[in-house]
Amino acid sequence: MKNFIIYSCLVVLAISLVVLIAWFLGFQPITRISPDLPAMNPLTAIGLALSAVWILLFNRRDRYGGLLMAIGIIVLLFGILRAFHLADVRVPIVNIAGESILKDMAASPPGMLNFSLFGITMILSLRLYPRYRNIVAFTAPLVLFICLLSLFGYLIGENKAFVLKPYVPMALHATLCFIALAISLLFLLSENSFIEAVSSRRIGGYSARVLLPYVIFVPFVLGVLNNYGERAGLYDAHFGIGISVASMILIFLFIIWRLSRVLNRVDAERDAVYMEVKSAHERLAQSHSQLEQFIFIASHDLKEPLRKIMTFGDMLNSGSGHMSQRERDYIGKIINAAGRTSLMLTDIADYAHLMHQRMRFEKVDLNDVLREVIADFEVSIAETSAVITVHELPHVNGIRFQLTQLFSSLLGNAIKFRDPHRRLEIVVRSAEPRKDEVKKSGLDPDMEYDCVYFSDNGIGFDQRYAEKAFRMFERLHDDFQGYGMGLAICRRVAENHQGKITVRSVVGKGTTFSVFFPRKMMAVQPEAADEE
Amino acid sequence: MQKSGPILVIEDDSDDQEIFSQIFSKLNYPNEVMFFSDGYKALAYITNSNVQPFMILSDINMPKLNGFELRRKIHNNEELRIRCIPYLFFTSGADRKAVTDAYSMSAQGFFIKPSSMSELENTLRKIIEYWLECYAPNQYH
Repeated sequence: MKNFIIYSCLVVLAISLVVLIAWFLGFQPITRISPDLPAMNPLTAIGLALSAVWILLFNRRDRYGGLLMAIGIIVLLFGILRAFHLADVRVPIVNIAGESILKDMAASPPGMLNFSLFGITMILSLRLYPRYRNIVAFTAPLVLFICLLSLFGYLIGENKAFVLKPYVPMALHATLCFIALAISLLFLLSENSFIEAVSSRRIGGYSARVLLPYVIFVPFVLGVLNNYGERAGLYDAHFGIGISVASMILIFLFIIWRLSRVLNRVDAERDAVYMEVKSAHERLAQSHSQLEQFIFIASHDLKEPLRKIMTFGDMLNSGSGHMSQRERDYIGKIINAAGRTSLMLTDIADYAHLMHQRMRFEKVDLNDVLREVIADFEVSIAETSAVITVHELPHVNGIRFQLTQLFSSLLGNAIKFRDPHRRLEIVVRSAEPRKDEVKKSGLDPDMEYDCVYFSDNGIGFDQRYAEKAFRMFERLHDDFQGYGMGLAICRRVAENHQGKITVRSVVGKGTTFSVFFPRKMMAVQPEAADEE
Repeated sequence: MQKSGPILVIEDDSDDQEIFSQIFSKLNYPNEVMFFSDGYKALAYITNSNVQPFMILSDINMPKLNGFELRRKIHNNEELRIRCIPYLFFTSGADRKAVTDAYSMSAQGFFIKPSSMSELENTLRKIIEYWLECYAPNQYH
């Protein structure tokens, strides 16, 4: 489409320059296509050239804003000036021989109207509010309408019938240039909304492509035929119109019948595919929930023997039997390993639960959630004499339980990875994130987000491992207890809320987690069967 | 509740029976500790004797008659209901529903079996000390 705009503007530019030069040099014959047809007015040629330049430069409007505005005003003035011209105010333009070239040239009212419309479109598209750019949706079709009238007039060789009687018609090549420019303007300024509708691979685009040629050519051809038939004396005007109307109805009926057959078939096929997808989705949801159940049962059942291992190990160790210190250490290791495995199983079950939890979204006040979480950690906070500063947090559309888990993990991490040499300080605040932050996190920068920043002054980690930190069972610090599920759960929670979590950390300085929540959520996937 | 009565432990898992008996012998309370491997055996014992247990510790997942069913049977019989206070659940895993169900059947406690000896020992000691403090009907004559 870009190419169409460029080529059509270049062609218009070429035509109008040739005509101008011809006028200037006095080669009258070149200004008209055939001796019987009207010539292109030099003012029209200038206006067309300027309009083409405007369209070509529009995408660089940041640089040529002034020039473009000037062209827009000139083109508008062209329209208005020529209105004066009609009132016999002659614009003095002379050719190389010094004769006024306009003395026997009258301007055509359609051309004048077209330039006025172009000028208005150009001026409004540059300045003011972007929404005025939509003006092209009204002006371009109007220009096309005027041009089609003129074109039809040429086709039936009765052009004068289609302009206000005392005035001259638009030149044929001027008409074609106007059409090219109007379509270019439409494409350029409508930001693809028109082209997309037609060029889309979807069914609407298909229908448009099928119908468009008929809609344009059938009335045109019928009109022309009708006119010729009438002038050949085959029938009178009333009969001619009757025939045109009747055949138009028949032709369109036929086209609509054919199109609707295609559309119905496509729609039926799509329905079938949709049903297939739907049942696949249901099967998937079912197998998901079975998997979740399996994980829950498996983790529960596996924890039983582990508990026994730990308890009996404990009995051995605290019994009075004869055992060397080394043997007791080994048993201690067995108990520890069993304990870790058991906690991992709990984490896995929690994670699986999160993965497939029935989404029940409600308005959640994050201030509340964090307050509760802090209360849960009361003892550890007191033990570490941590200072937590909480600023006003947003209300988000979310799942309370999951958000509680999110904050628990973050707070738990901050406490676990505190720097023993200084007092732990945690700051939780919220702000609207910068666009580049949103983009970097992989979210859509055009949407609005709230971001909760959770910062600590703990031991931090190398930023290189940021991505790794969110993976399941990844641990960045070997010398700390933990099972590497906390941040994986955080990420899952953020994703369940159509958001993201990112982290910035500096070794020895601290860590800041950013959790993005969209202000508006997309429609959640069709709800899975509700349980619980 | 009779403070000198036996402690009934209803537990199908022989390992857990072993753990309980070890801890009770360590705690060294005078009460006799009796084990039942399913709800029916416990129910038969309670109904066919005039025993006044000190407390009943019951697992939930058991074959034949599980902990909840046993509790319901006892709760629905006025005479048994009074004799079988306190009735405490000890189980290895629980969800919100199980805990809610337990208390809605007026259980006097719900505990998750801990995974270390000392924890279980502490828990049991606290429970027994608490109920020793509580007044029982038979303390009035």
